[in-house]
Order: sequence, then structure tokens, then C-alpha cells
Amino acid sequence: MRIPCPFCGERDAAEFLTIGSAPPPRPAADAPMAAWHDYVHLRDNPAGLHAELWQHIHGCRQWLRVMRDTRTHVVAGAEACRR
Amino acid sequence: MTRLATGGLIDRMQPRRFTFDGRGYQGYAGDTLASALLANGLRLVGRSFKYHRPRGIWGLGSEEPNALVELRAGGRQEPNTRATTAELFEGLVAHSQNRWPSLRFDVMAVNGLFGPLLSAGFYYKTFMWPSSFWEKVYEPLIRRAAGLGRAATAPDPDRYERMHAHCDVLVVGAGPAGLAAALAAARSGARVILAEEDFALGGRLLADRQEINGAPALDWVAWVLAELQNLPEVTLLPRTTVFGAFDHGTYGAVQRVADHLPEPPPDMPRQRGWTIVAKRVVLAAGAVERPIAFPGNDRPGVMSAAAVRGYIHRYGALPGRHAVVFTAGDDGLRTATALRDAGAEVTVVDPRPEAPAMPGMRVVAGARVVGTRGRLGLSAVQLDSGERIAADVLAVAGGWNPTLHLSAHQGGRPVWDAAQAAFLPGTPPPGMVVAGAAAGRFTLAACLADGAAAGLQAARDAGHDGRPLDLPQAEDEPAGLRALYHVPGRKAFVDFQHDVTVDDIALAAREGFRSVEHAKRYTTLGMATDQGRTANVVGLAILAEATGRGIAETGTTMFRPPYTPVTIGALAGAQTGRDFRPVRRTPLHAWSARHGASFVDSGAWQRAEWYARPGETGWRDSVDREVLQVRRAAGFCDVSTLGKIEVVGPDAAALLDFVYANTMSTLKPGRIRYGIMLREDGFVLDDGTCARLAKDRFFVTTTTANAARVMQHLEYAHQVLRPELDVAILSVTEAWAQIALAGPQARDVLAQVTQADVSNAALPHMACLDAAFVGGLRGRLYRISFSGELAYEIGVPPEAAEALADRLLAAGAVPYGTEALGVLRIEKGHAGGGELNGQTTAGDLGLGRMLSTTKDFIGRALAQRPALVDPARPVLVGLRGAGLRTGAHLLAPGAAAVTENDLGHVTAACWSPNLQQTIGLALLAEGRDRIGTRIRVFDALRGHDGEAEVAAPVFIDPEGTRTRG
Amino acid sequence: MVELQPFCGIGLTALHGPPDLLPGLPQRPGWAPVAGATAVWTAPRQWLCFHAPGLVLPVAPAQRTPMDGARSLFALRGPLVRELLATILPLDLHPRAFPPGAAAATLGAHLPLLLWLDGETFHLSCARSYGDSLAAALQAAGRGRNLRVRDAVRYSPAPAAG
Repeated sequence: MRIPCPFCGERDAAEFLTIGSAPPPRPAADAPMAAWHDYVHLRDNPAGLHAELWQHIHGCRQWLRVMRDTRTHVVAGAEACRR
Repeated sequence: MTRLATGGLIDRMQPRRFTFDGRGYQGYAGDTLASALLANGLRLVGRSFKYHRPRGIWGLGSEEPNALVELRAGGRQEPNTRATTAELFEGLVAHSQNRWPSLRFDVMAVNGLFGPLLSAGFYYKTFMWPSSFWEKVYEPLIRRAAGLGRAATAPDPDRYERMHAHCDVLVVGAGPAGLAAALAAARSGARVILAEEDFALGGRLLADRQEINGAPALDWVAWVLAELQNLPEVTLLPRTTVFGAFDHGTYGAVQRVADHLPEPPPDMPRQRGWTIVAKRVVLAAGAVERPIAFPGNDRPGVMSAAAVRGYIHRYGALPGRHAVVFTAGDDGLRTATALRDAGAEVTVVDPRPEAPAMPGMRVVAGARVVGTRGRLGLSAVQLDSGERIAADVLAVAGGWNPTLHLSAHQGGRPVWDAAQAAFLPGTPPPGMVVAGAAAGRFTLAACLADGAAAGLQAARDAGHDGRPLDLPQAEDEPAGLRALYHVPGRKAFVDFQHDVTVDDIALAAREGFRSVEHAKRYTTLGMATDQGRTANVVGLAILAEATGRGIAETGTTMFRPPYTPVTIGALAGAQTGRDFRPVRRTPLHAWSARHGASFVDSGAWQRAEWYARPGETGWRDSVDREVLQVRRAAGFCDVSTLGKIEVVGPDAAALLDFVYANTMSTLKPGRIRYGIMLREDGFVLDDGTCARLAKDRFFVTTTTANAARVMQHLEYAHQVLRPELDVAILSVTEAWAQIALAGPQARDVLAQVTQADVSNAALPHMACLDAAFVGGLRGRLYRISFSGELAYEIGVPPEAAEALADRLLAAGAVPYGTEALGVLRIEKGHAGGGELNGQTTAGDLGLGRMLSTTKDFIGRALAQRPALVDPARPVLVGLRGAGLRTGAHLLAPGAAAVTENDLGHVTAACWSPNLQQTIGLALLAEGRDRIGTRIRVFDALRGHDGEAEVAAPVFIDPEGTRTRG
Repeated sequence: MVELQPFCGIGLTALHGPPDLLPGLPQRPGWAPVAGATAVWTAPRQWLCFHAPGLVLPVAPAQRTPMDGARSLFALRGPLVRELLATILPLDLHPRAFPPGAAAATLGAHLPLLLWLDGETFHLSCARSYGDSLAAALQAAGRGRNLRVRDAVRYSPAPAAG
């Protein structure tokens, strides 16, 4: 696969690390344990477009939010997590 | 079976000698091994996989199912090479496969007598009884019988190369459609790569006698190539197969740079593996003729009709003098004409009652071939009327299968077109269009027009505008096809390579394997090295009939790369042998090698494990000596591989408070603190020291194994979780050679190499400062201890490392390696890789009190989960006892050695020269309560079953006084 | 032919700060001569500067991190330089896609690499610990391409224009 890094341009997936589905926002420090369980362990696994987190470890080292279709691998876009 | 006096594209001025099965023959430059064999009168070239039936050449190109040979010898020996694609070079050596003792007399042909017992799936129903026979009898026999060719057993002497290319338009196939596409795209200024698997460009134009603009078609080919060769943005790649269509315009190809030479010249690789990224692709890979399955259709001399005329026109080789042409439409009649013009006697067998008369030959209309005769090759053809015709070649024309594989590699299944009796491409991968015969255009005019349009559009889509080509004149006659897939009867072969017959497919359907994917796997149809190029469509037509469905409803199996077999060397390139992956060397690598170091692989790093002195006979001599020297005098260790990260900026402290379980913002500049980081799930990620070099600059260290992981963790914590923080995170592992100096005399040694004040007052335990060293070196001093002795770490720029090591040596310290480092840390119970295994909590390691209760940090919440704070969890303890090995399991004495009784395992073990006994660290359930008792140590893998004493996980200086002096 | 020039004595400083930390710093992947160094963009608001050892760049200490000796560096030029690099690097090195002034970080020969183009000379850098492996990969890539390896010289950056 090729990932369109917004800084470096389109690059082969071998330059990246991915943690899969983008996590939801991190719970507040005093959130109940169930919220922390969901945050760390639960992800949706849709057949279709979803957001993933990729880090361009062999390029600019920026974490990117990538919209990718899990059925067709079509990448709809990628933006830096920190702008 | 002869070489025609004139004609063909071979060079009769350049003879080429070769041997086949030990006998010498001659061919010409431009021949393939197959054409040369046919021209020399050889029809029998192999024996089939299961039944060992005699087999001959079927086709013309890479789709060949039968003529598989062992090519070359020694380290270059290749099994299963298709004789139809092997370019003939001087001195070529080839052997037939899968027969013993000879091709003409093969003992294993007896398998043919057991045909009914060896039908599809027979191995699911046999070889089961008695069960002891499997290992002793059945498996060895099957191993000997299995496979076709034999692989080389000597190392491959050739070198291979990888290549990356980017282009606007990749054209796959240089037949009429591909050439037109490449020309249209190239003239617009686009960067074009034209790849063709054959050694000559032109596709079917090389095999047929066609005209373009009233002149021989090959004149047009030469004219197009001349223009393409002169355009700077065009790359021509003959002998190159595009074998896979991957995501996002990425294509894999293999270029056979030197396969056609006896040996690659020193400046050439044998093959080159390409990764091509193309904005647009035109797939113009043509089509391949389909056989008809009838009884005895696998006899040598039965050939594809399109191949027969190819051998006549391209190679000047006549496959037989008494020919029968069995054709399901007009296309086979072209072969009949070619045979007649080459001097053969021709009979056409045409199932169509309205079959046209043909001058100069006999036509039997409304008839079918129902059998063949001949012992090791065709001698007669049997018709359904009962007539038997003497013949030495039977040309079969069953229709055309578009070579659409690349269009289906990403799941776009082909679509059946009943009118064309062909599967046409389904949805191709984004950016690809299919043109020419690969798209079901079966006339020359249609191919040229289709290719030209596709090439122009591809160039436009890639941003280069051009003008349409002036299309040349060419024939546009549709070939009336009446689809015929099989004729009833036994031993009608569908998949020649795997000996799958029509009956096998019917059997699969009867036994319930009705889906095309199940039928494939049950019969092995389409699973051989040719992946069913000539078999699949006939096979599924038969399956459709057997299951009462249409071909469209039956569908095809999944298409996957590679399209044809790919040499692993072409995928590996130059990164093989010792160079198969890169190695990392510390700034002291060469110095250590000069001083007797033995190196160990630690991930990508090479680390000195010990430094052998003259007279030392084994590693224990060196390691024990190094350990004692550190505890009694002073030693120094290269710890450059540990991760080093500088965290800089106004919010550096805030970021570190967020990632460390303990607090770093309270650390004063010039001080160091030990820290642990958790993963968000509450388990320990890594441990290390954190030195505050300045108010806004911290120096974080990690274990060697986790350096990259911790870096990613910090970057994630900043960029994703706390993007508002103003901080920079920089890996400086490579910027500093780091040397640990440890032992009671460490301060004395240090004072000899630095001008800094290193008294206990100036540099107390867990302090750091910038320092100047003897010889003008500048660096940093850290007072930290992993060994439990009075110790420092010295950081200098890498180019200064050797000078520093020499001075330390001169000052009386001795180098020690990772083995001694390990013994020292086990003696002190410091956590290492065996304890930081990703499954331990801070509490397990006795570090539970480090977790802050006043701040949020990564892992804080889930570290409080009941299972992670359960007092019954295995915790870190020490062990004393002979025979301790890492990985051994711990049980209560007398308890049965079963999983339910498992209390934990040994995480580290070593001989302690200081204590003169074997010691270890372990994770043990209720460990703290068991201190002072005995435990059973069970290691079934290495045959040890003994006992050990449970102890506190600190064996030397439990008060830690040595580090503080 | 390809000429390969290894360097030794490479001074390095990482810069981290606002976009206008020094005049001329590139704001997207690329390189520029800045304050006596070759400044290569490596990340948003981060640059890696190659210079003579011991050079101190004119920014506050909190905005620079010394890294002398942390990298290996090679210069390559010659008629076959793009073809040689294409056996190692997955980047598009066509002059339109990678003109002088361009720079990129990528993965090649299984190790992280930094590449930039100065005129007709490519500069290729890796972490110091990988230096021997990169040298071996370049030797392999040079086979059949008339690779001439020169003796190592001390690095000094390209002078600024004007």
C-alpha cells in the first residue's frame, strides 16, 4: 500500500508503523474503569472506510490520521495528528 | 517434425548446440528449447505428474503445461522450466523430468494401471491404515514420488538486483495493442515503461502471418520500436514479466537479464526484480488458446493450433507432416492453411455441420475427435464416426482465454461473456485499463484501435495531453466460434500438469465439492506451476455442466500473484547471505575487536559479549574474570546501544510527567532519577534513567531492545495525546558513545581521565555534569550504577570513543562485555529483558511504590485493575541452586508437573563468581512469602528437575552502600 | 560511471524551534545552506544541520541539540547515479520529481536513509551505526556501473549562493 503523507508525499507502507483503528479521545483521568477498558481494548472493525493511525517512522516521524477502506484499501486522505 | 528450409525469425547464420537428456542437437539463435526440439523431431519431452504418461509440447509461451525440463546444472539447475520460454543458448543443457530410468521407459508409468484408485482426492481416503505405516512407509514413498523437477543443491553462483521505477504509464505486453498504447502514450510526453515477457516484441504478430497497411505486420512492429527506442522518457523492458498488481499502482516485475546467456557477464545480474509505481497501467497481455478435453488429448503430438502455426511462422519448425486440425471455429483454419503451405497433408475436423470447405485439404464437417492412438507419440486420430486417421500432429483450437490475471489480482473477478465464450476482465484495480485480446478484442484492427485509445487516455489521466494515433489498416474478421469444451470419454485431460481429468471434476461434484474453490482444491485443478492457464476455463465449464449451472454462475477461482513463478533471488536482490539484513555497530566496535571481543547479535546490533585474554580457554574464563574485576577493582562496558532520547522545550517536564509513572518535574538540573514507563494497559513498557541537563532539557535512557518502541511512545504521547505541549523529542542514541565505568576503583580511574571534580561531594550518586576529558575531549558524566558498584557513565561523541577507551585501559580499568553485565545485574536484582517482558507490572518487579498517586500518567488507570494488583500475581524473587536455567518453571516441591500447578518461571540465571554458586531471578506466585523456602525447578525441555532456595532478589550489598560512596 | 565520496568528521546539530528560527530554513522537505551548514528539513519545525565539527549555530541552546558524529554520509555523482540509487531507494529520482534542493527521508536497503540533491551531486546519509551496511549496499549497487570509491575526506557543506 502507499500512504499519502501530507509532508513527504505518497510513500510505500514499509516506511510506516500502524496501530490500526484510530483510538477515541483519551478518557479523563477520573473516568470510570469501563471507559478505560473501552479506550484501550475496544475498536470498531468495519468493512469499509475508517480512520487509522499511522506513524511515518522512516520519513518525517509524524503521526497521521489516515482514512482507509478496509475492503478496497483505497486511501481517502491523510492528515497530521498534530498541526 | 522438421526444420523448414526457409522462413521463421530464427537466425540461420548462428547455429546453437544443446543437449537434451544427454544427446546433442542443434538449433539457431532465436529458437526456444521447444522449437529446437520440435525442429529436431523430438515430440516426447516429459512424463506427467501422477500417471507418468508420455507428454509432448502443447503451446508456444509461458502457459505451457507439459514441456517442463530441468535446465542447466549445478548451482544453476532449475526444475520445471518451460521449454517454450527457454531461449536457446550455445551449450544449453536440459533434462526431462519425473521419469526413471528414462523418458522412453519410465517405471512409474505403472501408476497409470491404478488410475481408478488414484482419482481426485484419493489421498484423503488412503494411507491411513495401519497408522504406524504413515511415518515408516507411506510418507517416504510419497516424498520420493512427489514433485516434478529437482532443485539445485549447490549455492546459486549468480547475483541478483532490485530496481525501483516510477512512470506515468506502464504498458504490460508488446503485442499490437500494447505497442499502439505505448506509442500513443509516449508521443504525448508521458514517462512510459513497456514490459514484455517474450525476448522479442510483437506478441501474436510474431506467430501469425498478418498484414498491417498491406505490408507484413512485423514491418509495423519494427517501425514502432524504432520510434519508442528514440524517445528519452520511454523504457523498453523485454524478457520482463509483470507478475503482480498490488495496491495503489504498485506492480512487481522480474527482468530476466541474463537467463538467455550461458553465464551472466560480471557486470550483469542474472535477474532484476522491479517494483514499479505507475500512475496508469494498460494491460495488453493478449490471450491464450484453450484446449478441448477429449480422450487421449494429452498424447505427444496433440498441440494448440495457434502454437502449431506459431512454430511454423516464427521458428520455421514443422510439428508434423500428417496433420489433423480439430477446431471449434474459424481460428483453427488459419493453422490448417499454415500447415498446408508448409507442405503437410491436412484434415480438418470441424464439429460445425456448416463447416466451410478449404482448398488443398479435406474437411470433415459435423465431426469430433473422440480418441488418439500411439505409444510414445501420436500415430492416429479417432473420430466419432469410427474413422481412424493416421496423423503425427493434432492441432486443437478450443477458443481463446484473455490473459486478464493482473486485472483480477485485487479481487475483481472476471465476467463470463457467452457470445465470445470467454471470461473478460471484471473491475480492474484503480488506474488500470485492459486493452486488446486481454479485453476480448479478437481481431487485429480492434486490438490496434483499443490499444491506441487506452494509451492516449492513460497518458491524459497522468497529466500529458496527446493526439490520437492514425490507425493503420488491419484485418477485422470475427472468428466464428462454436464453444466446445469437452467430448465424453475416459482419460480426457483437463489439467495436464496435475493429471486432472474430466472424470475427476465430475467426481468432485458428486462428492459435494460443487463450488469452484472446493472443486479446485479437491481435484488440484489449476494448482500446478502453470496455475491452470490452459485448464481452468475448461475445468469450470465441466463443473458447471456437472452441477447444472451456467459458467457465469459457477465463476472462477481467485487470482493471486505471481502470474508466473518468480525466482526468490529477484525478490531478495543484493541483500542475501551475510548482507541479508543490516547490522549496527557501536563506536567501539573496531576497538573491541582489536581487544579480543566476541560479538553477539542483539537485534540489529553487534555487542561485545566478553573480551578474551590470551590463555583463557572458554567464555566462562573471560566472564568470571570480568565480573570479579568489576567488583574488586574497576571495569568499563560499552553501553552505547541503549536508547538515548533528549526531550527539550518549555513543556519537556510536563511530557515526562505524563509518560513516566513517577515524577520527573521535581528533578533538579544536574540530577538523575530512575524511572519506569507503563503502557496504557498498565503493564511496564520500559525502565531507564532520566537526567535533567537543564531546566528545559532532559536526557532519557531506555533498554537496547525498547529504544525504538520508547521513541515511538513518546512521539505518540506528544503528537496524538498532548499536541499542545511545546517540546521536541530527539533520538541521540547515535550521537553519544556511552561507557559504563564501575567498581570500587572507578573514581580513581575516572580522575585520571577527566579534569572535572569527581569527588563524592561534587558528583554524588544520581548526579550529572558536563565534563572535559584528557586530550581535549568534551562529554558528559553521569553517576548511575547498573552493576551495584560505585559507577559512572561517560558520554562522549562517537569519534572520541576509542581515545577514551585507550585512556581507561591505561588507567587500570578492564573492558567487560554483555555477559558480565548480565551477571552483575542479576547479582543485584536489577530488571532486564527477562523481567521487562511486557507481561509484568511495576508491582511484580517490586517497584509498585514508584507509581505516582498525584498525577495522571499513561497506564495509571488500568494499572489499578484487580488482576494487575492481585497479591497472588507472580513477583520478582531470587533463586539459589544448581542447574537453574532461564525459562524453567517453578512448582511447589512434590506437586505434579502440570500447568495447573505452575507457580512461575525463571527469568534469568547465571553462575555468580562472587557467590560461587548458580543464582537466578524469577517471577514466583506469592514470592515474597516463599522467601527462605525451597521450590521445585522443572525444565522438561532441557531435562532438568531439581530444587532451589527462594531468596530476596538482591544477592550482594542489599543496602546499596557501594553505589553511594 | 558513478563516483562515491565517503565523508568523515561530520558535524551535526538538530534544530528545533519556530519556522523562522534562522533565515532560509526550509519549511517543507528539502534542504538549504543556512549559517554555514546544510540544513535539511526532517519534521515540522525540526531540521538536521550538517556542518564542520564544532560549529555552534546562532540559536538559543534550547533550540539546538549537538549530534556531532551521529551520521555517516556519502556523496554520489556521475551519469549512472540515478540508476544506482534506484536499486536502493524507492523514491522517484526523475529530475522533475527530485530537482536540486530536494531532500527526502525514506527506507532503502532495509535501513533508514536521508537523501538530498545539490546540483548534480546526491548526498546519502544514514545513522552512524549502519554506516558499514550502507557502504556494503552501495558497493553492491555499484556492480556493473563502474563505481569509483574515493578516500574519505572531512565534510564541509556547500557554500550559500551569492
